[in-house]
Amino acid sequence: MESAFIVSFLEWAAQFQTLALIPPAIIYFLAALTVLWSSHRVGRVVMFAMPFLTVFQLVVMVAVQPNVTLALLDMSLVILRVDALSLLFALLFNIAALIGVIYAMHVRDRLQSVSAMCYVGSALGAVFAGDLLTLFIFWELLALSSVGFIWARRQPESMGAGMRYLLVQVVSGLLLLAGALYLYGQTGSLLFNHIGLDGPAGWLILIAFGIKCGFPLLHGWITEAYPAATEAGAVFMAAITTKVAVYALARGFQGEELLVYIGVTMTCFPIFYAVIENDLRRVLAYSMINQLGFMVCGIGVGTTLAVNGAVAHAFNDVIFKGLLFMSMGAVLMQTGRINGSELGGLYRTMPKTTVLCIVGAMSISAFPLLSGFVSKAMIVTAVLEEHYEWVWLALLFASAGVFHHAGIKIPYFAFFAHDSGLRPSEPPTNVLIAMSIAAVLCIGIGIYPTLLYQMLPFDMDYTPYDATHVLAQLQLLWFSALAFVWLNLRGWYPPELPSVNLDVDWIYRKVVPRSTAALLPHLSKIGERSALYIGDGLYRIGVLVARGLVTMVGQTTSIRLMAIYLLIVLMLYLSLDALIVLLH
Amino acid sequence: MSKPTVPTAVQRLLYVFYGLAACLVFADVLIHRHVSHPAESWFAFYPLFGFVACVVLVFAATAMRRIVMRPQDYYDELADVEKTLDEVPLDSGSISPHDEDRS
Repeated sequence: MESAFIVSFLEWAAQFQTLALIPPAIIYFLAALTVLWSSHRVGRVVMFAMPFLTVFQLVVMVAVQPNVTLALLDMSLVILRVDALSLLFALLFNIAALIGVIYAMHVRDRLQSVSAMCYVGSALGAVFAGDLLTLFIFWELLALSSVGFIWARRQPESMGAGMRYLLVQVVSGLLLLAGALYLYGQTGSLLFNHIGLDGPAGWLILIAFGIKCGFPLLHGWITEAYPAATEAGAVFMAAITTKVAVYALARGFQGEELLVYIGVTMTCFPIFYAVIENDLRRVLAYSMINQLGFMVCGIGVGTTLAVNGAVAHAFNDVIFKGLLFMSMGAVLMQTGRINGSELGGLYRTMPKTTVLCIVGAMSISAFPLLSGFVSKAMIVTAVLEEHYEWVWLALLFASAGVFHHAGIKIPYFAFFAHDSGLRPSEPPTNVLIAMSIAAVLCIGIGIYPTLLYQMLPFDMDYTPYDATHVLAQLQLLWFSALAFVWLNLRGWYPPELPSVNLDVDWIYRKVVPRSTAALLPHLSKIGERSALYIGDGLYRIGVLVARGLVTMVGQTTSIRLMAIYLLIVLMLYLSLDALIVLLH
Repeated sequence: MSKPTVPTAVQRLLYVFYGLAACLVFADVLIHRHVSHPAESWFAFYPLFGFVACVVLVFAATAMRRIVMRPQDYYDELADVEKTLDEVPLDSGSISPHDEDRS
């Protein structure tokens, strides 16, 4: 009965087959143009309609299975490759877009609206890309479009933070391009399928994906950019960039054992930082790396159950992490503060936000009956099935830890703990609606996981709800909570302190600018001496490079910003040139 | 650090919380587990693991503060570096190759 309905629905949808041939990215870019030139009212309607239009388009794609290729020089670029994996991520990004658009409905800021449309479009372009060159183009567009969310905050530090974010992302793109070209030279094909780590090309591409995915030591941008973005911007960014990377890893590096160990490191190290971090959105950024770790681990294990688990967890993470970012965004919106040391006691005047935040917090902690449980259980089970015993123990540690910092710390320090004296009102209705949609999805998928399971790339037979799993998870979480209570009652829990903690971004925010400044006098001396013989060109270049380095990584003024921007575009241009030369 | 005082209502909630914790440990006896790893069949493995993991996590993170914690404005101090750079002239000043040419 149900399947007959689906079949006839798909037959009906198939008559719109031309719609399936237009890349969703293009439609989103057109929407961005419309938003740019139209009034706010029209722009809002367009943005709200986009996810619905695109989801309908996805349905048509399921019916007609298009494969759109485009000839460029003597290569064919696969613009649209439609399969279960790309469809699932495309659906996910549209859900995230809908929630994000509703959340930002009250914001009158064209920069953010245009960024959002371009950003979601680029993400859809990337997941449907069937070759590495198309992937590269959308990979870079993702970076360029999302930096608007950081600049739109319009704080003194936003410019510098945005530049650093952009640089890291562009470097990731260039590595991807280099890897793709290398691969093309070796195999004569740019098709994006399993890549593996057999040669330098694989490594280059893995590092490119790893930067976007927040691999250890490459993760600095996550914890810097997300807290620097606007309230709504962080919601969009948290949903998309890293999940595109997870998609790319699942496509290209499934079953690479190295990823198991990278993943497990990612689950463990950020939770230490999260416990002592004061900025609650940065706590969420650390917890994002932790959740990404579970996904990377699943992809590394590579069995059907593990990869399904990784993809399902990516799906759920977008929704519950989105919910948490939305609730912290609501706190920031209503109080202008986000540091745990300045918040507390907000439940009195923001009860709805409090409850919605707790739903997100319980989801991320993987409480049974909530979405995190049904996907994390798959990964943990798969890890144990493949006899990674130490990895399993580390994942248990990380599971307990995530409950500690994201599950308890976020709601506790924002809404309870000591009374900060702040009495903010609830956020606007549209914000509450967006959070409620996410909360309903968290609970819906948690109670009825088949909803999500039937969309996963591989067929499998798995039930998360058996007595053993549920009891084990409840015991683990309950006693983690007990530890929190005990430490708090003893006064041993580290208090929230106004501070920053050194992480890898220290290298490019402090060490590089400082050492450049220290080297400068010597540099100019060398310049002066060489000037006598060669001319003062070298000296000028020396000073310019030094200034450029410092401005790039340190504080930024508007004129210098333009110079750096030019530099980036130039690099992009040169690399594309190299590509064309290579192809001929 | 002094121990925080706990209001009565919260204290009551905590008793319920402790009670449920005890029930969960007791459930270990009642419910037969299908274990995949020998450690899982130890009595109260998951409760102990969860508790110890979190205590270790918090103590380790607190200790980590000594090494990594910096004042809030730590990254705002680059203005002076910029100033130093601005003071360096772009033209090499007194020694210029053009002077050399002329001499």
